[in-house]
Amino acid sequence: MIYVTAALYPEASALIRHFRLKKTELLRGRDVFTDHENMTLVLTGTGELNAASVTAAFLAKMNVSDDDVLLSIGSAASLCEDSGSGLFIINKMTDLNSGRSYYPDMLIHTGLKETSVLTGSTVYRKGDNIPEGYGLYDMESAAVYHAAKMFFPPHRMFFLRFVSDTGTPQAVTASDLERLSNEYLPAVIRLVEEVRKGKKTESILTKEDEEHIIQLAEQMKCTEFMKNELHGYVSYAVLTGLSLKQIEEGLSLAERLPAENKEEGKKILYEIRQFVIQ
Amino acid sequence: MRSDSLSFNKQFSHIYIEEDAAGFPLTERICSFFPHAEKIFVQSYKEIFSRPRQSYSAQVSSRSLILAVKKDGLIYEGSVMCHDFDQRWFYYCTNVLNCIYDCEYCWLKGMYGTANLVIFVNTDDFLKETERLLKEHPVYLCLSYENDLVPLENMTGLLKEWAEFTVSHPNLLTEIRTKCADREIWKRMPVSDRVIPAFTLSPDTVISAYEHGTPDLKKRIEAVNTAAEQGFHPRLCFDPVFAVKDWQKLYTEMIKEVMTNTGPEIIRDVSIGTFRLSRDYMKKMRRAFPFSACVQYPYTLKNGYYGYDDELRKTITEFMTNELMKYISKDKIYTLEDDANE
Repeated sequence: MIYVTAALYPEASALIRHFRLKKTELLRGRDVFTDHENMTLVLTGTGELNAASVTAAFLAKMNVSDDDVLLSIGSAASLCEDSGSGLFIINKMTDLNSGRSYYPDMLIHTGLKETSVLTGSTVYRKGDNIPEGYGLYDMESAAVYHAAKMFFPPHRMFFLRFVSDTGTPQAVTASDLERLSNEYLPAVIRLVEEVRKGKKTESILTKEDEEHIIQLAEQMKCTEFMKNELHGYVSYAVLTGLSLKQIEEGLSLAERLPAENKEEGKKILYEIRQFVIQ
Repeated sequence: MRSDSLSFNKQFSHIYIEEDAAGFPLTERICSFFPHAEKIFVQSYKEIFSRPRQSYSAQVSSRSLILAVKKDGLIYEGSVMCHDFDQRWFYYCTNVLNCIYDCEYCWLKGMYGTANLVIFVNTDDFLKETERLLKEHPVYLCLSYENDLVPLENMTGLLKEWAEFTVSHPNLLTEIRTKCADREIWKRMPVSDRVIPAFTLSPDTVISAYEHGTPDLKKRIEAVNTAAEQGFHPRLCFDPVFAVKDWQKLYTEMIKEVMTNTGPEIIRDVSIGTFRLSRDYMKKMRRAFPFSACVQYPYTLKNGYYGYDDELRKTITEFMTNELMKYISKDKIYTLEDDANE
């Protein structure tokens, strides 16, 4: 699943339409759109407090797994000529209030221009006294990252911002944001497609193996510690090309189990270890 | 996230530069080595290097460089888990944190949990600290301890600097441990008997299974010979030795290949060690690398370290010692058992 955050509907409308996301009642008081399979999007509202609190509440409700990805999209004000216009992928975001910076991993080649963003709690107007060295200014990025890092590692978070103005927020209308989100939609789709190619988490053992280990552990009168050891030995065996069936046959476990007590189980466990490392 | 079909950014496409590191000659040198890299300024290298929940497996396809200034802990005392080669004043240096190679068994993966590299650019401070120690006693200093400096030499020039420093400080003995087979490096280094090129050698079966991204045995042997031709006396490190299938045969053939293609007379000494890893690092590595047979092997935990059972460890050490003694005298062979008995 790709979890998407955006502050306002016009910033996300193109994405919502393209992926045919439907409005749902997943989070009380906030608009959430989903296809129930690949993508779920939340509108956080503007500002750091909204961004952090809604992102945290939203992700806490979702069952975020190790294969999921966070994508944050939105608009920002340009702070310098290099970032005068266009869509950017963010490599650094700094919270203006705390001075704390966040850095998503920049592993995937997107072809997008990169820049840094300064996140403040008030709207930026040209001439405001802010630190130098940043490409963009917004009111959500650092806050979204701060909340989302509880759920996602740095290599599974992506922040995209398109330039809406140069510190002249009064000139930006909803239709401007909608137009820009449409304009940059192809690049966003490319990133989504690239991210989806990521390898899914695999398991060493099959579900049947896992169930069988539980049965074996019971028959061997294993403690929790012994059960973990047994699991480790079987996992190692499978990695080296041995199957659980081969272990059972090699040690004639069918004839020897159930064990009479934990001590006997310990002896069998030791034999299993020796069998898998031989 | 790791997948062959994903298009990753190039290695070192991103360089994070600590604000204090800007302006150092080494920073300039490295940045000009990667003119197209994205440069991102950070307050502290730990903001990148020590982020929680990083994935080595995801990052290894597109590592980042971090340039920083080391403010303390420049030189450390050597660990009891490493060979001291009978050197009383055994230290190691941390110019660089992490390694560009991807060895499945490497303890750095347990220690750092990231594939990114830190290069400390304040080389003079490391040299000054070494000089301070040299005023007190001789120093045996391992340069490639939490890294492999040789494959980074074209980028950093650190080894040449350390070798020149060693030549001009008679009480200093430096070791450069490597798996790199770049022969040109040794041709550019000032030669000294107090600079020890130390080559880690493994059978090709182990190299291809566990030591990803490293040169094969033949190339490493060629590098040993090149270093020797320049006048160095290389050290050979058979460490760690793994009890893989048919390990006796594999290691016998490897030792024969190494010794017949180098020659005992050029070898300073050799070391033998079996796999060992602290409990904490093992715990992290088993979680991070569930598909690594090397890490998932059911090692025995003893005194806070995972390794082979005592019996197997002794068998391996004796076997390797006996095989090596066919070519080299026993007094040139160092084992961890020797260290433990001292």
